[in-house]
Amino acid sequence: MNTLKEIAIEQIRCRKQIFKLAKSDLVNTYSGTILGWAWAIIRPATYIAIYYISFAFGLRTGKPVEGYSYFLWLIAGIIPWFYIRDVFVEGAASIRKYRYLVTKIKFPLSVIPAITSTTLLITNIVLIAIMLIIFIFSGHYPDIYWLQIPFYLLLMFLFFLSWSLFAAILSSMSKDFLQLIKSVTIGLFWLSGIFFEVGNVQNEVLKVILKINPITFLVNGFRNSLIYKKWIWEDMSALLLFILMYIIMTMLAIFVYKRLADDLPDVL
Amino acid sequence: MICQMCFNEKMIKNNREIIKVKNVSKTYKLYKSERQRLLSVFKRNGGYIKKNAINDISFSVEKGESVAIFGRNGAGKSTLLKLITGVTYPTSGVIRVNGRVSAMLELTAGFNAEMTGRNNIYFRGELLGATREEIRNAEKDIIEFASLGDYIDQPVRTYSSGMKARLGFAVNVNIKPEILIVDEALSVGDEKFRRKCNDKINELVSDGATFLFVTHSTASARKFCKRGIVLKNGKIVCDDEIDKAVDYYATMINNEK
Repeated sequence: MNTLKEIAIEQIRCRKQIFKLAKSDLVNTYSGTILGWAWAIIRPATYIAIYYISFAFGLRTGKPVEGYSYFLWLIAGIIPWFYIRDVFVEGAASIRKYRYLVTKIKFPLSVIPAITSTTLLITNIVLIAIMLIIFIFSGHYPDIYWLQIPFYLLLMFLFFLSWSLFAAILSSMSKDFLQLIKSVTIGLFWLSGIFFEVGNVQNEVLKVILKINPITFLVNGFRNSLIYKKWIWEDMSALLLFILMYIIMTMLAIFVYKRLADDLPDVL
Repeated sequence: MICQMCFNEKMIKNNREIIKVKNVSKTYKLYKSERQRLLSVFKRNGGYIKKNAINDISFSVEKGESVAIFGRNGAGKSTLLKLITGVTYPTSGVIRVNGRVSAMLELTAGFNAEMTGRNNIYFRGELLGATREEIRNAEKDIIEFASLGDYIDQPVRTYSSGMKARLGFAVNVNIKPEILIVDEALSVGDEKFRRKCNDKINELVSDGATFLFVTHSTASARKFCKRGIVLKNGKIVCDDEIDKAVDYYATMINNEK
């Protein structure tokens, strides 16, 4: 409990450094290119366009959901997934990336995963904004359920903040762990109900996995806000399960932090 | 203070005692292989060789003191400084530091290579515990001290190692450190810059800053320090006024030859 408090205090105390490093991270990604910041939009826009084209003209498999085209249904889930996919791997690599903050100067270790998470969150917020504009242009105007979106973003950020701390410490101890994470990402995509409706799944084992998978909860949350028009508390069991998963994830993070944080400056 | 370990003044009974090192040992774990390192996550012991870098050291430094630390390669000097700076942690024992530490362990380290020199001044200054206001006031001095000219608004990755070192030194000495830790960094740059560094350190020390200086050069240690500590195999073998410590160190080296 004390460790948790200590970590939380460090995050708040170092918020300025987090934003500063996140900003420089973003600037580096896009500066030096002629189009600059436009790339932040062009790249994901290309993804979305490819999905749109393939579903509008090619594959006609996807059926409309609740009066929304399959394309809209898909992006409502896939755009949060872009964040999850990136933070899953880059969060795990964060301490290695900012090695100089660990081995050369005094800097609170637990703050480093927050830098990467913040960078990715900012990019994702831009994407979410684009997605909402697409919804509006398709004739689906904002309603009260949209207010849940910032909250789901926050939940997503917090859950993967714990993940990043946990995974980044282990990845700093062993490169094999980082490789493992990189290789399971694609599996995670297929086990998270991003491409199919969870309700339609027949296989019992898969159903259970989808149900306890926190990513399914988060992705569904965005779809509940935009498409199914459901409040977060309407599926209480899913919410409680997510909270449980969040607590477990955070406890794991604290466990490895307590165990290994002091050793990291010596092994990195 | 931002991101600095702050210690309650009550923890240190003697108010003048600015650094207190008590029964500190540091053991590095040298893993036999990558595999052992991975396994160490799951099991508590084994798979590594223990290497004692610091062995049950105790001493304290009062405010305004200037102390030289001598020792042959591998005696534990750098580890000791890292421990005091808070970059690494003691395996056992207690270290208390009461004040803003400005450490020059490796001058070129700790910069964000992608940020400009100017942004790095703020970034690093804040990490060292200075407020934005203080850094803004010191900014002009820092840029002038580092004599980087137009390069100050270029990313640090484009700097030569000399430029990085000058910037590092300039930031560290210009944010009014209470404790200045230097690890043989004075051999940076040309004669003119070295003199500038020496003058600045003298100025800080006479203004009441505490100074820890690791060096092999007994001449420059005599110039700056009044007290000397000699380390050997991770232990303090001599802690005395500077002339005696220098003599001790000289004899020790001669005997080992």
